[in-house]
Amino acid sequence: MSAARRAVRAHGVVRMLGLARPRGGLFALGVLLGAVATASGVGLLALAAWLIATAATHPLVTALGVAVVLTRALGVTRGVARYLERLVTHDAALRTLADARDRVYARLAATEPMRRFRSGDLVSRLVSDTDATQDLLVRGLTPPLSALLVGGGVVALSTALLAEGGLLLAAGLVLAGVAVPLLAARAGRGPGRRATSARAELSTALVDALQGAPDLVAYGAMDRAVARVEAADADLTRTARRDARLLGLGAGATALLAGLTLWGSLLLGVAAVSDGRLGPIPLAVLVLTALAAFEIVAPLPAAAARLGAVRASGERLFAVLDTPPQVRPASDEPVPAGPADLRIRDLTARYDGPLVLDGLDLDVPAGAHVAVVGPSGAGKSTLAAVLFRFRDAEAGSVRLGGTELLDRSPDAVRAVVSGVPQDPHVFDSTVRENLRLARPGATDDELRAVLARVRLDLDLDDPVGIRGSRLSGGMRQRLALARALLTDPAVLVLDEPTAHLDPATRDAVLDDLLDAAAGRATVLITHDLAGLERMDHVYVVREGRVTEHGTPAELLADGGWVAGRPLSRSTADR
Amino acid sequence: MKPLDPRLLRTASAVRTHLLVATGCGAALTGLILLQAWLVSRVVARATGGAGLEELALVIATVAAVAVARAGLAYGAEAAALRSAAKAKSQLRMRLVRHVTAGVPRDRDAGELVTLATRGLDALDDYFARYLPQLVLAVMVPVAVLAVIAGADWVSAVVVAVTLPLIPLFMALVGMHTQARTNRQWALLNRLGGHFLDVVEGLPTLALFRRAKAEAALVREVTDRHREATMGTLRVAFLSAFVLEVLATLAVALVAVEIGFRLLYGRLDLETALLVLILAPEAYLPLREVGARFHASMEGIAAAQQVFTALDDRAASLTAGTGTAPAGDLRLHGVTVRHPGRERPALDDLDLILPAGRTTLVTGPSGAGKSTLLGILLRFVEPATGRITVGGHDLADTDVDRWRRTTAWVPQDPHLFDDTLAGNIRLGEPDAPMEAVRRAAGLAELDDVVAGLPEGYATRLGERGARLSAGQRQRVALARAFLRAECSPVPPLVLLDEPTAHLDPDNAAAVRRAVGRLVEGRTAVIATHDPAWADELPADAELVRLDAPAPVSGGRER
Repeated sequence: MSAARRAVRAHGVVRMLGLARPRGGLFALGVLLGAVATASGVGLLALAAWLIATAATHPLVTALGVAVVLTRALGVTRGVARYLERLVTHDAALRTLADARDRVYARLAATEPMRRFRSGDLVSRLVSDTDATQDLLVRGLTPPLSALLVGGGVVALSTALLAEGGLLLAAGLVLAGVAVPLLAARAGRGPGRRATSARAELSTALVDALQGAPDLVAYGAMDRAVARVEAADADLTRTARRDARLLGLGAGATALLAGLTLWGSLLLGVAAVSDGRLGPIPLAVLVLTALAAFEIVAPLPAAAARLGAVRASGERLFAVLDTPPQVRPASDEPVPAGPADLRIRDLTARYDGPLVLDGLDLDVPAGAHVAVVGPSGAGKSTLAAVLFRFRDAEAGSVRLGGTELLDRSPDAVRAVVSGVPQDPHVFDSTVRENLRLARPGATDDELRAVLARVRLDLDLDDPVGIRGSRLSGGMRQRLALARALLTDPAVLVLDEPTAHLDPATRDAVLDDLLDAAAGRATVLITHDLAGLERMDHVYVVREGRVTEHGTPAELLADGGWVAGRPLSRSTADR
Repeated sequence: MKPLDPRLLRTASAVRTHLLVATGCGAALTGLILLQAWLVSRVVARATGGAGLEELALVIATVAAVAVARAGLAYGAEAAALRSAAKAKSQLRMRLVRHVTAGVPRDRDAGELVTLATRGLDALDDYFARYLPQLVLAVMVPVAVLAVIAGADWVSAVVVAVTLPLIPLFMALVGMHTQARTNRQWALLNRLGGHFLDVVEGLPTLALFRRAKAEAALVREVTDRHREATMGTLRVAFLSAFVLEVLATLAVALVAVEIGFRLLYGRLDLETALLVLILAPEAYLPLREVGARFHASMEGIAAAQQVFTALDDRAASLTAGTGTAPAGDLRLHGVTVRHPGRERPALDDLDLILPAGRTTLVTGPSGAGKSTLLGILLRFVEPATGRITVGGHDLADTDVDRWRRTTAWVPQDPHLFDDTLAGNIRLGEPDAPMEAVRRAAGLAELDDVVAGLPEGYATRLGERGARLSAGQRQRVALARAFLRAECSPVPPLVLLDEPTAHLDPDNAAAVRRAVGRLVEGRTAVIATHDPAWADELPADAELVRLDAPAPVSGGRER
């Protein structure tokens, strides 16, 4: 790894810590409380050592009075300070998490359509990456700072008693608290990598054996699949058993350092007592402090072991936060409402690679229903993204009546162009809340009317479940259309509204969608030719441009892409 | 949740070995802790009494030896624990895999099982390497320390003996009091946590309706509520740690003051006092550690319990005959099939003849039992009542494996394996020669697909055949069926389930052509929604319509 690259990777952690800066006061308080808690533990033993060593000299009882009170007090402060420290740091971390969520959400809203972040897996990872800031702050920020504070204090005390003793303790603490955790984390990386790749192999074999079970059983191949799982499991187990040797090193090294520091303290202390440089009472304090001091560094290995994961989370998080918006700033002036013709001319767009739209021309007269068909990857969804103003076009024009839509802000355009995006999201709430997204002031009567138009028999108070899980696929599409109709757009864009529906449902949904959209300019984007005979005009798009267009009858007759592909309709009962 | 599940001991022999090793290491470690405390108190007391470095050299050297031994033991115990953990995980995993793959395929969430068998079981590492050894220490060390303190100074021993049992007692009391409350709050937390994911996933939809900015305020509000609820939970959850910490530290403070005074009045010597002072915190330390590690390790226990639950779920058994596979007309006599947990039978008293050498097209809406019919012919499902005969022989008398060797099945959503294309086609016939594979691929309209792959038949298709499109995967499944048909000892029964559902027009056309070839002259059943298939099949094809027993409303999912 190059130095520059390492600097960038360290950056992820540093920048994540930077998120905590506005909550600096709370974190400082947390560090202080943590230091008090740890110091109480170490101080209790040091003070008790002084108390006992002094008592052994049989002084007057009054000589012990302060120490006795302090010892008892320390017995209580440790628990109380630790409890408060945990509450304060968790509160600060949760507040920081809220700030981070705000920033992620705001940035995502500006980088729509979030093509890269669309898949459910990536989104949930992004959300857990955001949550990782909390983990970093609670486990990674305050414990090292508290340890630094208390460690410094303890070393200072020991140095005051005996210089070489303090030096020894400092060396032991630094080695056990910084060097060993970092080295152990580094030593763990190799085993981690090997385990990940062995686990991936096992996971694939398992997926094949479990998900493919019907195929395997039908073809009598299950024994071979289980043998493959067994081999992958044996490999993973062998790797893990071999690497166990490396992973135990951290625990061993910490124990060794603690033991040797104690030994060194005894050696130096006894020598100093013999020389007369150290009294018997300070000797007891010095030795018992060295014995208790390693409690200070105990939480650090866990913090170091997390650094790698936190860094990876930070990199993914900041990749999102650093993504520039997909749409250039444009005029917020409203687009005149009311029916108008939509004219698309020479539209060109690309993601990082080659052109996805390459000079596309398309007309949607006011009130007409137009289908855009073609194989997957032809650029159909990019057209929808441009029409929704999810992204800018590279060149070309999209005019609605006399207005150039590409010169208007996304929100201005979405007031007149709306519809159903691919995989419309249904929020985990009620039918009413899902509908009112589109028109917050709508009355229940208006909502019921729009449900009737899309032939959806649902109560407004019905909960829809996570991602609409309580609705069927067809019902989700109908609900999404109802939402779009509520905005009363001049142009309705439907992006693959019947994907993932079975044929009978598909035909019923499409018929009802088109009925509900009667009289409204509608662009139906689909890879499926079912129902095309109901459209006024059909455009075939291949490789980013229109290859043929005409009425459905013309296209069926001319022997092009549409002809020869049956407009098969399910005649199964609906 | 029990700290040590007896089923874990029974199931994984590695756990028993591990417990023995952990107990041995724990005993040795306890001895070393006591020895170190004795050595340190001796050195300090003797040095205070005027002894020099030469006199104490041997004792101090022993401290170094103890340090090295403790380090070695810490390292060895951890490494051994991780090794045992790997072994035990492997034993549990393979038991799980053998159990769930045995018998007929069952409906279950494969993704969840895969996660359980990999990441889920990995949580046992913490349980084995961190929790169990600490549990052993938490039992041994306090008892040993208490015994030593009792020998040295009985008053301190009383203080420790009274406070030690208070810790588990108070933790249990606090735990009982807070359990219900925290459970309720975690449920609320999960809901609030889910809200952010929901909003981020739905951002395109929100943007489209110009609600993205308004929703930002709501995100803030919900996150703030989330924080308040979390803090409410934590205030209570941290209480048990608070009790533990206060009791442990306060006890040490009390012991320190008590021995200080006894020392002052000359009822105790310095060495004993130091020994008690050093040992007192050691009695509480393992208890604190075991408490801190409890939660992390419980994930592993939960995973193990999920494995045991899965192991308890037994597969339905088949009446297994031993006869050879018969041939001839297939007849269903009054066949009824019930799926567990459903009231309505999937097939109700069905009589059907599937004439040998001809195709039967089975149509009907979803839920009519089309797939169940294919399932009983594949012997994935056993009829509750009724009989199936082949050429007059009862199917139940036939050996299941031999029967399946005479069926060629193309499922609706075939599973392709992370293997080469040739390996995937050879699924049922691993020893088929390459020419036969090529022939089958040609018949299944796969030639253009093969030509497009970088290494032809030797190309690995990736997990679930990710390299290929749905239509191409369907054609690979057809090639499997062609190969099986060619290798079958008797004329095979061809079974197809919705061969063209969800395919784009180009792929659907290719699949239709291949299906036409596959069923020609063979006994075949095609189950489909789409009655248009009737036009594609030979004139002598039989048409059967299955109706769903109950009325079906619109907008139902497939």
